[in-house]
Amino acid sequence: MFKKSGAILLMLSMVLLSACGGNNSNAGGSQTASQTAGQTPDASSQQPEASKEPVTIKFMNYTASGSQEATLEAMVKAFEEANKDIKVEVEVVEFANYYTKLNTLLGSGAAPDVFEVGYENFMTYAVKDQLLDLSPVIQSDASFKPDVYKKLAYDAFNYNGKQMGVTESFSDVVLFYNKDLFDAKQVKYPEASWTWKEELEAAQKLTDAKAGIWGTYAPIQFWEFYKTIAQNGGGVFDKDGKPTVNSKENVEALQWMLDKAGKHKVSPALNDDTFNQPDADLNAFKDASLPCCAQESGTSAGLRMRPSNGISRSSPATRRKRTISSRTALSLPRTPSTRMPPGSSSSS
Amino acid sequence: MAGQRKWNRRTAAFLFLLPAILGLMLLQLVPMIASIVISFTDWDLLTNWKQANFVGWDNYTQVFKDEKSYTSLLNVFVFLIGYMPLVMVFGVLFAVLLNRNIRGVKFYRAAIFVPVITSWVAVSIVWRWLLNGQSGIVNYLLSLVGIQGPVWLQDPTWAMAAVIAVTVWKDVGFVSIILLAGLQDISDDYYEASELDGASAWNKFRNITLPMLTPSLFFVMTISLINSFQLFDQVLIMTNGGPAGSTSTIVEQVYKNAFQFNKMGFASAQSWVLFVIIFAVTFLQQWLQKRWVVYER
Amino acid sequence: MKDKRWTVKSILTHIILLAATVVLGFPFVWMLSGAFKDSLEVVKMPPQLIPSNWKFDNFTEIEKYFPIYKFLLNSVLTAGVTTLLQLLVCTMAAYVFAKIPFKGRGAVFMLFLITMMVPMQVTLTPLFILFQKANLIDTFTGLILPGIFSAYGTFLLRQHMMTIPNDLIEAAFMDGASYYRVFWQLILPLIKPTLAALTIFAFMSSWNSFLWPLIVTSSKDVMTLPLGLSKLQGRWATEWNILMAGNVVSFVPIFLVYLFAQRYFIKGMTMSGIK
Repeated sequence: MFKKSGAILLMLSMVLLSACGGNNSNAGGSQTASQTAGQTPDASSQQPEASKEPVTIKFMNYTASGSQEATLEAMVKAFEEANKDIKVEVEVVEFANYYTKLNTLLGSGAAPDVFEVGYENFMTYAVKDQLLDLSPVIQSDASFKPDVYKKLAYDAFNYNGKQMGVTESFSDVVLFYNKDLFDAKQVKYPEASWTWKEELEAAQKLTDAKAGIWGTYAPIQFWEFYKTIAQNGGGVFDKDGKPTVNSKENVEALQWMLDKAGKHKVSPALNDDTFNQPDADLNAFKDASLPCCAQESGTSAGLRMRPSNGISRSSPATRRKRTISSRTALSLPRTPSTRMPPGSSSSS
Repeated sequence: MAGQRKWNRRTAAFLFLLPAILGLMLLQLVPMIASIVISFTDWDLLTNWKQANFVGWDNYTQVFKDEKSYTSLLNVFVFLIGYMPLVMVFGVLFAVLLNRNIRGVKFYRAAIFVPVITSWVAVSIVWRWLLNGQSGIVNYLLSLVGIQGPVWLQDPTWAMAAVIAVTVWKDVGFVSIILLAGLQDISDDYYEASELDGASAWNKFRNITLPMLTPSLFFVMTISLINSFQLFDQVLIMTNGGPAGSTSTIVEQVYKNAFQFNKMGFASAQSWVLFVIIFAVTFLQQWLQKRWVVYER
Repeated sequence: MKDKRWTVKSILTHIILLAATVVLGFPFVWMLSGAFKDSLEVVKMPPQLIPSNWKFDNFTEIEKYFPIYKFLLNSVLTAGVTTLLQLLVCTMAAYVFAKIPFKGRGAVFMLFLITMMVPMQVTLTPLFILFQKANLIDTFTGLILPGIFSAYGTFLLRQHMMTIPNDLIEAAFMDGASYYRVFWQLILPLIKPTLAALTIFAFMSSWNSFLWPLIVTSSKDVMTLPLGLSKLQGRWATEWNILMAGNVVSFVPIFLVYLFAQRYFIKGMTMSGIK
């Protein structure tokens, strides 16, 4: 259901691998250089590539895992076409193991040239100086216009004034609702102006415990928490950067999340095992036992839900509507010594 | 002649042992020593290892101060107490039954072995369904006898029990096969001789089978003990160390500290503390084996 | 000779084993059924055993996610070579630990056992750095090498070898056999069941190994099956029926190895007793 329009931006950032510190070997650069650079302990300075041979960059990614590898391959091909002097070696590791591998590679000095990093982890790498500062490259490249990216998503990867990453993608939070179920109970469709009050009213009308239909659902998890508190005007930090996790607004928001299940009974009970299975909410929605569920959809990874699925019950035209404009962005890192025209990043 | 044999013996020992020793040194000892060194540093894994700082015993003191170390040790003990007896008893039972020449024995052997072969990922997905609080078969069967089953994997009291049960389920085939191999080694002569003396089935089991099985039993016990202390895959996949830390184990924490929380130095220290514990327990077991394991001399 | 009589003992045996089969085999049947369902039915709650919508192309659809049959071959190669070499290396070492005493043998054996007691999660990274310097990253050698040395295997074999009567060995020496001949022609044939068991376990362990291949490989030419299967789990959604199908495919080769090796468990193939 709709909540107050707070805009929370969750962004993932693009991080760059930095050749910081003398000993951190240049894992980037041309294919041949990267093998030997790992051996030489003092490959401190960047080695500008002057060769005319195609430079190969290693790119590591997790978003494409699970069904989108073909899409990524197509993107890579398009990129290689547009930039004939660059070849890209892609490695896709699924999210659960991605950071295990990335960290091991970084720590052993064998990191990929460009890698994807989510915003939630960006800081760790930025703080430890593991990312390349892109600012000089950005400044020197006239064809690169940051305006192409959504400002908040782009700025999220600016650490201490240095741009350490470029936005790759971000996701929206949307609310799916089942029109048929709404029609059956003659409830009006959700609108952007709805607040929690309206949501609760509609959910109460929609809930039919005997038929196993729940009015609304949003997982009670960390990720949902900070979106919900923003809807209530709260936040994890206040304007001055002081932590306000325990604030009145946050507590109210958390209470609201819990009450939906416990007090109002418009959401499945807290210890309902079924809903703790992976994808359970999505499946319940497809199964038409859940009129509404809030979801995140990665725009670059394509929509999770394919509306015209062969659902056994009357398949509603599930319309996607924006709830909170919550965005997540993924970005790509770059290596220092590759002289890639930054404009090429926008071609993907 | 004897002198020459001694020389031959030493050479033989050396030659036969050589490949394994090489493997041991390069593939095991070197990384182990490296990780000991790392345990004295603050390496976070993602910065270059050459840049890590030496922190002396800090990591180790932290291990002993950390509450989670003790919770996880307790969890491992709980697991041990539940797992070992169950898997040994069922293992011996199945091994003995499978040793008989009945119809379909090959089918039974294969069926019992199937869980061993299946990967933990597949196993945990299936068992999460079976253990579902509302619609899983386990609770359904329990309800037939009037018991309302808990929400197994969500309940701090029962999650570990579920992990134990699933692990026994998965490993019993392994134990049975090992013990079966051991049973096969027992010479028929012993049984024939005892039958001539009029021994009953139970007598035969107690006086021939069990003693001659002790080397294999010892192996199974040692391996189970070591594996129990290193419990990892299933708690990571099925319960992720939860709920409320009730299935968190030492290796699970090591893994998370090393690869998620950027505390490789600390994780290494944890591993080495674990090692000391396992070593002590195994040593004890080895020493005790002299008292109950029967080898052919 | 199979005993076909229906004694109380045999009926009881059958009942117990049948119960065990059901409990132990059922989840696998479940997995199998999931492999033939479509993506909606596989997650339906409450679950149904027989698919109502049989779908046979899950097994080919996996190719869309990763080149499963290439990975399958990689796994077969890796696990096969690892198993053979492990058998060789470990039987040789076990022979020494069981039957060739020398000063300090106990200590060396203890050293072997010690390697089992350290969680591999922390030795993984130093090993990786080592292999990196040796240029073994992303190669089959890099995949296979760590698997050859196995303290478990050595331990298991040693236990069984110790049950071989020393008289037998003495007799062979009297006849002029060398250590080498004793090893190949006396010891090995006597421990066939254990060799068979170790074959299965070594193969299985290598086949299902995940963490090391994850770190050591990056190109599809060398990746193994578990890595591919984990790719079926995406960041936001997983196709469970495809995953089940993938797991079934992964199951088959190990099962074949098992079928092959388990023949050696049959009594009568072992030469027990004094000749």
